[in-house]
Amino acid sequence: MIISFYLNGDSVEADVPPNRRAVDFLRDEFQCRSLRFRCDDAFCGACLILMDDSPVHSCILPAFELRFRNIWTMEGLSSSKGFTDIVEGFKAARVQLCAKCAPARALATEALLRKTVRPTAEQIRTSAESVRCGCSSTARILDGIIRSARLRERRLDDR
Amino acid sequence: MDHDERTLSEKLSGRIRRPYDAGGKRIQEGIVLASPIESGRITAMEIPEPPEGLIYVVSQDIPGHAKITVGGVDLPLFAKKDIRWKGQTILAATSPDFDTTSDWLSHIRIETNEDSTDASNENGSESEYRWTKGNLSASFASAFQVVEETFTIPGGPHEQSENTVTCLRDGASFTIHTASPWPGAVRRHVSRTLKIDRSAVNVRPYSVGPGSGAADEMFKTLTDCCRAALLSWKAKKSVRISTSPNNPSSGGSPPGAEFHIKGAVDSEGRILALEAEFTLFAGAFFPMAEEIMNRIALGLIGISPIRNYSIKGAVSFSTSPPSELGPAAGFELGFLAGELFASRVAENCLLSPGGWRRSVLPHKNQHFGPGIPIPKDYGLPQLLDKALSASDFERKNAACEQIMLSRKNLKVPPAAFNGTGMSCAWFGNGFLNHPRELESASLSLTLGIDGDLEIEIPPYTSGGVLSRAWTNIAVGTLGIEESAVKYSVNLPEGTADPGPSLFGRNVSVYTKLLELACSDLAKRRFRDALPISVSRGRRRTVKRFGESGFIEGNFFDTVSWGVCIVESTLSAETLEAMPLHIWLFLDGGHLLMPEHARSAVEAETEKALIWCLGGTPPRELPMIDVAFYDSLSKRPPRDISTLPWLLVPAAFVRSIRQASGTDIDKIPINPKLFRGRGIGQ
Repeated sequence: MIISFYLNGDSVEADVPPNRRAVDFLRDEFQCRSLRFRCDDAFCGACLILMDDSPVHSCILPAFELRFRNIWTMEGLSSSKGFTDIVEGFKAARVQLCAKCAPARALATEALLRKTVRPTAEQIRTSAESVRCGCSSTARILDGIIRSARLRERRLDDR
Repeated sequence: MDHDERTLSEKLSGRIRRPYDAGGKRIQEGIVLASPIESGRITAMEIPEPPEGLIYVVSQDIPGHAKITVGGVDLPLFAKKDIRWKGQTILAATSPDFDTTSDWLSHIRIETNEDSTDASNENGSESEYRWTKGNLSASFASAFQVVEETFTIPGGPHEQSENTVTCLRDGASFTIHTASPWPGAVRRHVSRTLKIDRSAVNVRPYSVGPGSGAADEMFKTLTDCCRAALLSWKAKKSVRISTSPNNPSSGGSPPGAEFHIKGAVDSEGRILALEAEFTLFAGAFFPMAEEIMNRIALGLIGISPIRNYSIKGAVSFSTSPPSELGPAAGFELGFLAGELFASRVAENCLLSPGGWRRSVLPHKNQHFGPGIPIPKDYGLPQLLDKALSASDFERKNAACEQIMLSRKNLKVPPAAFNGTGMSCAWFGNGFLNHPRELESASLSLTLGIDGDLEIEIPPYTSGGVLSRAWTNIAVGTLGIEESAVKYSVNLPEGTADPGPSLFGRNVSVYTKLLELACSDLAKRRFRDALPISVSRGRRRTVKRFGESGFIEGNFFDTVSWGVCIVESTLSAETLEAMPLHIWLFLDGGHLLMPEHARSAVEAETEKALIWCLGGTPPRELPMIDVAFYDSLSKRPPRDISTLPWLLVPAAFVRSIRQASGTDIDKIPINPKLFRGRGIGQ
């Protein structure tokens, strides 16, 4: 089945077998190496992608579901201006992330900041819990998200 | 952009590679066939004709050792006849097409003779351990009171992690890409399994994550690496093996334990004698059993000086996957039980826990525990004083105690009951038993003609933060630019394979070696022509712990100390236990990276709490105050990220005991534990 979709802002097309998972498809065909394998069960969130601005676990998503969708991974997001807000915010909160969960953490934060730059406590907590990893304390991650949101808001205001 | 920001940016953008990123599109996927039964014998196996290009490996195909010997235990790479746990690997296969391989595997027929006999320890190592000293009967006869404690701790915690190993083949050489805390053992076991020279095996170690996550998949990665290498050797192709964490073949959990402790206590609250029995619940195999059992015994005794003791430990094997190391390799079990016993002694003596602790702490020139000399830089009394005053522990403890004792008189029960708990612990950096495979460490520095410094510390990848601290040491000693410091990712040639980078070895051992090598290089660079290479190594082979039957002597490179106080609440309506505030006062010597240390302690504290709560994060996050003991004297750095595992569970359980007014005797702490116990009535 040939599907077309938008990946990191570009229109792409590929042949995809029906039993292929989105995580394997994006990694193998489009070199989206920021997608990690970990639980294969939509639990850890290491394979998160942004599908039409919503975070989705690509390890349980059939690749054909990507058809006509707007997909973002950290390969595309890391070259955007908004990425620096997340880096600065997490750095200021002194979050010590591991290489396994960090891209998904950034993606979940970006998903939240695309929705709102003034997130509620509940939204922040939900975003933090969408990636499960023991490398950093929840309090620091929440702080990192809050600081990222403030930076994003300031940057948008300046513009 | 500074170093930290650059590293964080690389991590967040996903540019840092992982084992499954190694190799190109032509890499073949390997799949393992797992045992469908828990224990028994394979009576017949019907393997269909493999399609073209499909290669499979069973036990008989292994050219070298079919078992890996680690921690005194032989772990089979494939089940030959006997099956010891559900999910044990029987066969591994690979072909250019993943679907072809899985389809072929589904046609294999295995006939088994399932038996229900308990798995026994076929490795011949002891399954019963005993430590005794002094005269117990006299102590118990003269005791003012006898205090007893019973506690059950489940196995775990076990983090879900990536389970991918990639073996890249280039002619006769193999490069293993794995996230292992022990790359030295990977190289040794792969070369033994394939019966090839060690120099033909390269290991590219990836970061295994900070803190306790490094330990709990140590043995599993070794077997996975050997299987991937075997497939690669037979198929003459590069092979990647990924196993699902939900598959039991992916390795077991750290063991759990059940304790019964009895202590003879005099009228002033001093422990005269300790009699303890514990059973450790292990998987089908229990690597590093001696190390873990000894650590449990040490943790049980804890800090109070105890002259007479009799500790009996037994291992109960099961048909679950081989046990992995716990976050503190046994200390987390021993200290939890030992500190709960200490709290009970204080309660039974009608003393405040803080005051009792203060009175029984060993003084200078005394021994702590059963006979371990107090180090010169012993700062526990100061830590305890600071913790008690910062947390206002004595007042809060008295208030909670009053409420607990008078709760039956309350006409309207409150919505929640509060409790406080405290614990003290020490943690030894490194390993107790010192076989060379665990303790050897070496590094080499090369100052090149262009002024670049190449540092060969292979396990540095397991602590990316430490590489920055080490860079600072090199820059400070040699006066070179930060950008001139380079790290080699290869294991050093011609030296013994380094031991695992666990339990503070990176901090205490490698930092010391690096300091020595840097100062040597600083002297030589004005004398010798460039390039100059300096190597430093360590092969510690001292008398094994407990050979005399006593627990005496100096076992660890360095010891870190800690005091923890936890304030918790227990809802009278939902019976939900929740930590409110945690104070941690830690002595980690000269901290290499204080802010990173703080962050690591917070993360481990949270993990330890989640473990106590049975895997569920607390609904509300507790406040975590971490303070490091600040000494003016320059003392060697030591590990502090493991201490929360020893401190927090004991203090948390004690606080919940006080809040509930019941003797909960196990974790996880969940509402079920309190049902029917009349909380709030």
